[in-house]
Amino acid sequence: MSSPRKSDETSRKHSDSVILKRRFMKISSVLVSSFILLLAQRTLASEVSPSHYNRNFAVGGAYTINKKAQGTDDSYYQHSGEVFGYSYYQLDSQFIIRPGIRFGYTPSQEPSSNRAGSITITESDFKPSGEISLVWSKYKILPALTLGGGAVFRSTRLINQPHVNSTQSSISDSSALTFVQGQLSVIIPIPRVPLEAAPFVRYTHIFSDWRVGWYLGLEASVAVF
Amino acid sequence: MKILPQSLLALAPLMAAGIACGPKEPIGGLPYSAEVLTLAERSSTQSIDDPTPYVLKKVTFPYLENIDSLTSKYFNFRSGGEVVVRGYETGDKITLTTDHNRVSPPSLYYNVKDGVVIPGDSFTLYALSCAYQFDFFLSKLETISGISPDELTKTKGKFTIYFNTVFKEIQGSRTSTMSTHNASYLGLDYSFLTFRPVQEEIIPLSSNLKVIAHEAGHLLFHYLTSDGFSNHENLESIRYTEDEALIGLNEGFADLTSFTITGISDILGDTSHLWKNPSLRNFRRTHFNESSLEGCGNSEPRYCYGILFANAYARSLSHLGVDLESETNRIQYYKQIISAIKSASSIIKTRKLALNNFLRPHAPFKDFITTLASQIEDQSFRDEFTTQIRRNFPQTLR
Repeated sequence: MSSPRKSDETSRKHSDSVILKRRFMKISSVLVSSFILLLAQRTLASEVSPSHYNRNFAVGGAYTINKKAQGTDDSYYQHSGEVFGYSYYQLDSQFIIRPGIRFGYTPSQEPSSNRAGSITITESDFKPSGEISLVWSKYKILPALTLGGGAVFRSTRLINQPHVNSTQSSISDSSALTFVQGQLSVIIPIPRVPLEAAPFVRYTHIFSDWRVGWYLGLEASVAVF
Repeated sequence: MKILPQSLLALAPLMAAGIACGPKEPIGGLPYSAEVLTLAERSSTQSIDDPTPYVLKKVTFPYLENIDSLTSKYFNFRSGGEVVVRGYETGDKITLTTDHNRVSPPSLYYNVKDGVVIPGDSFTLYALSCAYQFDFFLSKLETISGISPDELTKTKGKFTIYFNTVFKEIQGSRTSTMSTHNASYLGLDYSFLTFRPVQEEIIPLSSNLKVIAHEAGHLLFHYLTSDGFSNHENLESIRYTEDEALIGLNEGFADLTSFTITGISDILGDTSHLWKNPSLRNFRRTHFNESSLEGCGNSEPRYCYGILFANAYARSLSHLGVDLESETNRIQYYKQIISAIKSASSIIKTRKLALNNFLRPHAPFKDFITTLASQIEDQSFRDEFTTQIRRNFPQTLR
């Protein structure tokens, strides 16, 4: 029984390195293209004068929590981190358009309950996305409605103890899915500093994956110029 | 107004992703193929005490008709919720009712590669694997027993598999709940119950062919002892009288069914870290008889009687020099047991329902097992089996 275990291990290592390479290529290409897009945006937008809201570009981070279904009537909570960049365009005296890009990462967090000890499947997601928000800037607290979409680059891994021969398995792999989402947030500018915080509720629809839906989150951003 | 077109640039990653991801690959047509957890083929050199080999591999479902609902030609598949059996005692009768609360079709998540369904999460892997074990058992049924799946399901139609469910048994003020680390055939409901896996299980019991073939053996025993389910109440009547010996025979037959399909006589060994390995359940390694049941080490006597029955089968064939590693041999003698059970089943059929709590073998069991032994077709097997039955049940058959 020792040789299948060894080949199991070798196959897993090989498949891990292939997954890592693919993931690196995807992440790099998305980052580079997004950077180019942002530069283009800034150049094109340079004639737009700053609004009373006084932000042109901001960066920040967010935390989200969501329920992920696991089969028919089980679920668990997932925690994710995001980084984002926003730019701002005054639409009129009350409304601002805020395009942005966002990168999210959700590590594997499957609970140990409801799974057999020797064999289980985990997944982690990298989510680059683009979005556009309409911010109502009439009051000191600013509601914002956001629509966006992007891709989920998913790495699926089979966790297996030596009890099960998995050399023929195709479960460990990476896949790419698309998603669209809508978000409602409440922006709270912090007085006298270029910071703002925004709790939000978001609905995400991942095509071909019904297991996620509503997210709750909190983001913080700092105006950089 | 230049602003909006500029802002829409932010949506470019979405468009890029849409192009990159492309349409989802379709599933290959019937019969469905999927990657599942199952038993590996045993090599010809494997012995009784070797560990059970498990494998993840691509299989083809013989009878599955819908991959999303896991509906087969012969069964429906439901997930979650609870199955509740209520017993009402009126005089010397027990009326039983069954409710299925909040059960629903399974919610699967998978990818498709080259037409093969690849599970995307643990639930889907376990559910597909469970459905496959039943489909596989049914595909072997006619070969091992001479009874086709069409014949088995002729009277009552498709049976139901309740996957990851909770079982509650309510009788009077007493409620017992089973929600993990087990599997069950519920004759009353013509259904199977499998429960949520726990970490100690090497693979989920619901994915384990040893366990599923054992439970399917109960379905077959029910069929054989109730004129093809025409006397449907029969098995449940036995169950609720707690007649351990007769239920034990059912358990022993289920172990033999599993053994005939898998070639493994230790159903519990290499199954869960909570159970001893090798387990005392291995009927080819039995070191007790009816007079020394404490050696069985099992809290429920029914399993001990079952082990003794199956042991009599294995021991008698071993004495006759039959190689039980050969599937052909296992099938040949299993068929003789099936035929004998059929012939002896009238003893169970005529048995009246009673509420007595029988803790020791008594008349129906004695009659049944001696009749069964006498109905075995092959004379040398019959003689040897009778000897071994007497050896294993010295008190009942003295």
